[in-house]
Amino acid sequence: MKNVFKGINEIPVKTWSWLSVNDTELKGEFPSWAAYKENPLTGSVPEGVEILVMEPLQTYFEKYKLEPRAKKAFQTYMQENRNSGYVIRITKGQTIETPIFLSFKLDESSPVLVDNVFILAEENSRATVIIRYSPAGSLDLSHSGLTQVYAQNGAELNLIKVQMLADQDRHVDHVAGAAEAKAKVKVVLAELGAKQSITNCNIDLRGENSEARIDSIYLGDKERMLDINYRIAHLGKNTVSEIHSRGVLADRSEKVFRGTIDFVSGASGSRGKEEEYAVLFSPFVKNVSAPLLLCGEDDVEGAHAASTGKLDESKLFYLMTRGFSETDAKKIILEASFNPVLQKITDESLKEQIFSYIKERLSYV
Amino acid sequence: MEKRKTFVKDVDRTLYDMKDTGADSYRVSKGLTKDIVAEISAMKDEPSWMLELRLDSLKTYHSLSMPEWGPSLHELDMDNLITYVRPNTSLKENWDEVPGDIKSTFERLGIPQAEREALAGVGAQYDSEVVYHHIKEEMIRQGVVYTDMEAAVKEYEPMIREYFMKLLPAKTHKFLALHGAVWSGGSFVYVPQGVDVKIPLQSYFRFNAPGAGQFEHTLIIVDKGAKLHFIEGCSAPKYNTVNLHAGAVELYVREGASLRYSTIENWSKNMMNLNSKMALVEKNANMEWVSGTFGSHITMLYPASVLNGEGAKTEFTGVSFAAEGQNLDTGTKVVHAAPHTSSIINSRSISKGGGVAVYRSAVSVLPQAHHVKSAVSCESLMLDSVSRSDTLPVMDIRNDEVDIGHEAKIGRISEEAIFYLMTRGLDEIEAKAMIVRGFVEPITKELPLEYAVEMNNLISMELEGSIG
Repeated sequence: MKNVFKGINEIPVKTWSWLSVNDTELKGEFPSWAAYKENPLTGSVPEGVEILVMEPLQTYFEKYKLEPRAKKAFQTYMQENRNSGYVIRITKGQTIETPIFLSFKLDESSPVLVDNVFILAEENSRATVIIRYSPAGSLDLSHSGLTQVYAQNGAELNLIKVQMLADQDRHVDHVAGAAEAKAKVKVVLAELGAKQSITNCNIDLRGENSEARIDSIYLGDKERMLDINYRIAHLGKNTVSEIHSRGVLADRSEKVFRGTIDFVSGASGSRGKEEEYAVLFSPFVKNVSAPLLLCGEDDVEGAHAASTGKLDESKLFYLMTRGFSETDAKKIILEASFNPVLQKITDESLKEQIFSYIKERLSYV
Repeated sequence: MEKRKTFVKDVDRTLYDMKDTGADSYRVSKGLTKDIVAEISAMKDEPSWMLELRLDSLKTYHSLSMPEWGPSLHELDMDNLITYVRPNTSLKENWDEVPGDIKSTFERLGIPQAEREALAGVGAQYDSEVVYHHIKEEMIRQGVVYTDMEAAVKEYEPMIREYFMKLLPAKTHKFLALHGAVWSGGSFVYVPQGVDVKIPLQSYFRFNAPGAGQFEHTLIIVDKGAKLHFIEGCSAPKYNTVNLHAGAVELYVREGASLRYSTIENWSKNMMNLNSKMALVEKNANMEWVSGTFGSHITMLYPASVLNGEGAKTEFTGVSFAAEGQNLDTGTKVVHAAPHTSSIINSRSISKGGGVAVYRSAVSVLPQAHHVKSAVSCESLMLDSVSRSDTLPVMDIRNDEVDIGHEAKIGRISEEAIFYLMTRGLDEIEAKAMIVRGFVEPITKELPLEYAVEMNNLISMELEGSIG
């Protein structure tokens, strides 16, 4: 198992090795297998949704052949050590208004979670799936997960993943998705906690006129290490993508962001856009950004932008002239910068939880 | 209906593809051994420290592996490469004394004419050795030194020993180690304190021998408050064997000084251009790179600026044109190592006919470098769907008092832009030509006039249908 967590977030095209952005590894060992005893499913299963536990997963993996950007050894580890797994099937033509919510709690009795979730949105169906990872107690907790999302013709699937683990925990998470013709896959990722968080999201736009979006926020403070790797590949014609990431780094936190828009030859008429904004709060942070644009097709429009800096002082000044203290003014600006992403979280109580979690964490800033 | 596409012609290479036969008088055996390295050193009658540097570099070369990133270099066969080819002449200071066939090559490239009209000094290297070096009297009177590297090793030994391969040591990568072992030719420039060299100096590197390597070393020191514009031109005829260019350029820009280093590279399509360039920029000094990459089979070239003193600035302006059989991996590196330093990076690339253009960059801000500003902008134009254009920028920031921005765009030219120009009275062909030239204009405007004209001629077009 020693090398399983090495080389687990490889950049799509390598660059200078001295920059240390080509890949990453998890520091320390992952604990050996233990049962996961909690039931993450909250609420009742809505009509038009089928949820299957564990065994059928493999059949779905093999049938839809999504390709996570995780190396083989890691995928095998995930398969062999899986202790929680679900297939969520949204049946053809159904629109599910209430989000399907999987809330994975890690605690003393279940300190290790290796979860696999496969979500199939059948033709012209619509649904939102929320997956949350949260801790209880102060034990070292470890999570490693793989979520696969497949949207058939005309389907629209929203996946929201929120990671709120504690300061000593480990989090390794891969999302692999694909969209058939006219389908939409929208992923919201909130990387808020854990000592080391390694996350990957890869979506293939296979069908014509399909769309994908990744909206993410990250919050680095103390000695947190965030390693992020997103990629959307345009394979079909007239496909649309957007990667949008906003983050805050404070204290001695470290972040590596890799975001890739990949236009494959033949994906004519496609458009892709990528933005990453990082706000820095401490002279001791490490902030690495690699926004990649790969292109093998001429009839496309691709753009990326990244910016890094301190909080906008004129905004800060304005708010302070209106009577806010410096700390409150900073909080307001940061919350406002996270807002466009958080607004995509349709579950009001989860949104509130995230807001108060961020507020509390920002009190360090 | 498939959109019709404008055909942008390949760079016209007729001029560069002329070959001379039998212009060299001596070449070392193929391959790379201690004996060959010692032979090169003995022939140049070098001081012993230089031989040691060469032999140490050779050791380093054998200990380093090939890069794990970037274009594949599998076609490079070091065992069959000739590392040193001496042309059949000694160094001249007058064009009339340069042998006829070599002189006519440079004449056809327009070098002597350029010297008469627009340059303060010229160096011309043919294969491994510099065949002509000349600098205007007025420059000499001001204490400007412009000489070939071999002469500098002897005449300015203490200075060369202090700076040679210190910015770019052999251990940096395999091809710098190779360079250290077999370097030959190149120029040394010293501009004394406060001297403003108003017209540019130029070195032109011409490669004639097939299956050989060129490893020239350029060392420039611009002393406090001085100013210089240095132009480097490169070309070679096309052969069916792989040629290698692994030169090194080390630039020292001292306090308050200013250096512009312009390169127009038009190597033939059998050339592996694995060149290394670095500038150390001191307090309030300014370093400008202007880089045009048109030729070569494979290029890996990333001029680097280390902003080492407070208030130092750098600007990189680059354009590349990758056509069939070309993989041009270019970009820049900037290290902000001092407070209040700033960098501007501006890159344009065009890919066509299966060519691959890669923009690769690294902007690093060290912990002590507060109040840093950096702005990166790169745009890529794809002319068909068999070509590639990748953008791989990395920013590594270790400080919060920074303002770092990066923007990139990829795609083709919009039909709206063409339409707009046509409503203003231009016909379609003129409109398209204007747009493509406008795309590379940020680069051409940085070039001396003759080069800008040449570059516009290089990008000539047969226009039909839409661009892209």
